[in-house]
Amino acid sequence: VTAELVEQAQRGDREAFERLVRPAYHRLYAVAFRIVRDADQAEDAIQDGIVRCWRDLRGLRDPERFDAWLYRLVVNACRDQVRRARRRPVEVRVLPMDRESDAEEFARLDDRDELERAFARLSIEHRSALVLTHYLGMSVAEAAAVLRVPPGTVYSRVHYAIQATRGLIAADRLDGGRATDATAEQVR
Amino acid sequence: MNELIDRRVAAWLADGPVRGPEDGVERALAAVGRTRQRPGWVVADRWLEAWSAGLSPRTWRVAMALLVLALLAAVAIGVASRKPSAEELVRLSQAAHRDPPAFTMTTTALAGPAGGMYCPLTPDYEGDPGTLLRFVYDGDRSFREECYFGSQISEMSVTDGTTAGLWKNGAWQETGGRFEIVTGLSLPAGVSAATVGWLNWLGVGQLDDPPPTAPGALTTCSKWTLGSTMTVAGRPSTEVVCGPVHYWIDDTSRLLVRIEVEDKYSVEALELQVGAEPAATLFSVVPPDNVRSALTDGDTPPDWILPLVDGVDFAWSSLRGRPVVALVSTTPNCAGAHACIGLETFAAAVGERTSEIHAIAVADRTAFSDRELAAAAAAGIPVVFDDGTAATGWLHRPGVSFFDAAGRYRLTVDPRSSTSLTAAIDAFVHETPIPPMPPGDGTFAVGRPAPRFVTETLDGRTFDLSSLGGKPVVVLAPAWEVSSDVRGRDATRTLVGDLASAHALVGDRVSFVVIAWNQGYGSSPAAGWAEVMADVRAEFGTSVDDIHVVKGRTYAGLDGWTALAWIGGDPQVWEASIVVVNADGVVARLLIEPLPAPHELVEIVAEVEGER
Repeated sequence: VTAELVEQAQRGDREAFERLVRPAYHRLYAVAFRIVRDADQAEDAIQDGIVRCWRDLRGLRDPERFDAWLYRLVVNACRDQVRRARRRPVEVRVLPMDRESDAEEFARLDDRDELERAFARLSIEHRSALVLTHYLGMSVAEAAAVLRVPPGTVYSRVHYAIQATRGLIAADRLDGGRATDATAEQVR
Repeated sequence: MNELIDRRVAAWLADGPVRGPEDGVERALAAVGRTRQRPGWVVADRWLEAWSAGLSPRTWRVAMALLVLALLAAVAIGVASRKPSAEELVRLSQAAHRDPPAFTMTTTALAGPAGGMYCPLTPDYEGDPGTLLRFVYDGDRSFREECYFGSQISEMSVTDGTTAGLWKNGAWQETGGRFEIVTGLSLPAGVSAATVGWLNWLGVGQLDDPPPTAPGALTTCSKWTLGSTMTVAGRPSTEVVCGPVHYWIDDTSRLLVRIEVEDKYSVEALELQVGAEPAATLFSVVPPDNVRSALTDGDTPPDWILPLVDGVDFAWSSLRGRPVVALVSTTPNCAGAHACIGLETFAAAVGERTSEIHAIAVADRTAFSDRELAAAAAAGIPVVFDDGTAATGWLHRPGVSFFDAAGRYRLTVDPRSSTSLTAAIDAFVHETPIPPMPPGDGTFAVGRPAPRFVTETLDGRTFDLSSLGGKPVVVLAPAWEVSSDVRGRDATRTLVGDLASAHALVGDRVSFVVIAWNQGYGSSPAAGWAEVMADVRAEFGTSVDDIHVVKGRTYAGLDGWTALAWIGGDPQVWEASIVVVNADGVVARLLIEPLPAPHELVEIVAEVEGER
């Protein structure tokens, strides 16, 4: 059915395209959010990806590969978003806590915070590889098809992203959690 | 250890939002509705898709190299069969040199745990201070990018200026750009932050896209930025960026390399023609004395041909025998950028004098509304569009320019009302001195009473700025439109959020106004603004409800002036701005980006209050 819809959309049928994209939107959002770590950027990225998908759909040779292709467009759009976002100032707001938290909750928050900081310092290519494999559960071969790189490259990206995450968390702990923006920017 | 991290990362990734905004898909589909499909053959994926699956990297590289060779051969055959005429080349005003020199462009790319943007991770990254990224052009139509560790080398074609319809190769996708070399543009002075600042002020760059060979061929850039420094062909060079186009310019302002990094996945034919080498002094990036675009009294401007509204070519040289009055809006976003006189105002002032003078308007397509274009058509005023290839760069200054009957440039003025414009034309026709142009009544100028400003709020109520008298008023003009899609909302939320924060700090002793521009680009600006305000309200509470959000397009009493001409009264105003009006209704401060933080704004308002 998907291939049929893709072929219809390739002939300019917007309704068919909508039927392809609408069910995929939230799934794509979840992926984009995990790559860019920002709700607005994720939405922008998906919109870019979907627009590019429609614009270039006639260039897709094999309708069966539509899903992988759409993922690739969204991943590419995420990369563009992150590059653009580097030029924008970032404002961090400190929000008041409305109740005291227990030690376990703090530990969980701390754990998430560590990962968030480490992940933010990975390049977009490495984030993408991690999200495709560790969130979507794609095999290395499937992720390679999406990212259009050799499987070995996906493997090495994932491998080193994990290593880097581990190293960054360790460094962060040594640094007392005071990782600087400059450090983060360097690692990108 | 890695398995533990693996599990932690997987669990952390799983613990996040699984749904986007409910209306997000509608916005995306609306954007799709404004987009046309491209033919399949221009899409890189069509050609690259099969290659990337199941091929080893080595095979892939060999295949790509063969493809490049095949494309170059095809292009060479195509070129041989069609040599453009000299006239065509001149008309196109584009140049590249036949034999760009071999060069190596080197920069340090960051390595470390995550590698750089270009270079992948390396097994021995630990302790490595950085890796080297090198762009190599060997003078033989091939280009490669080398990382220090050599694990990622891609080949791509390079335009050499001899071909029309040259392919921009998709192989550049790995680093996100297209590449071409342009040499020989001789620009007589160095590039510096001041120069870039000047380019920004001008809004019309001296570096063309592609570089010009003919006089007057300039590009329009809404914002230039200074980038990194690199060594190109053994020469230190500076990167200057205009949107997706990056230029590397050496310390004599010679343009060495141009890379376009937008739309990186497309494979498109590039129309690049061979032209004569430009004169060494033709182009300058140094303001203002030796700049060709800064015409001085008595200069004869270069000729150009541009399309009229209906697509018919119009030649500047056809305006002869009578003085010429030209309305120029060279910025791509007139309403939000430079001071731009309204075309309707211009038409009204010159429309009945066409027996005495020629009148013409030159602008980017987006500068004028349909209503303004209709007014020009009714007055018989030709409107030519200059979309950025910019043969009209010499008319760099937005405003009204005068040329005598012999076609010589006289001066450019910046009238702020139809009265001033009429007076200027009268004086010019009668060869008497053109009177000084006073600020218009609709201009916010420091030390002057705030203009009469009557418009509507977003919900349709009449808003009169003067009704807020008796206490200071802070007016925020974001300088851009917020459409119903997601563009522009982040920055606007930040600005309006800061305003709400300031409001929370000062309470009711100060009034706040946000001008919600509608520049006619988006599908539903009012809805976009309403969404932004709702977002900000959710974050800042009810204080946002006390901020007047007024329409920035339907103002009255401003004599036809557009957008920021009204706010700034200053042609440099093209960023978001804040005006602080004191309790006596006099403009006390005009602040342009970077705008103050909330607490700084509160201090400024306190200063204004203390000055009374």
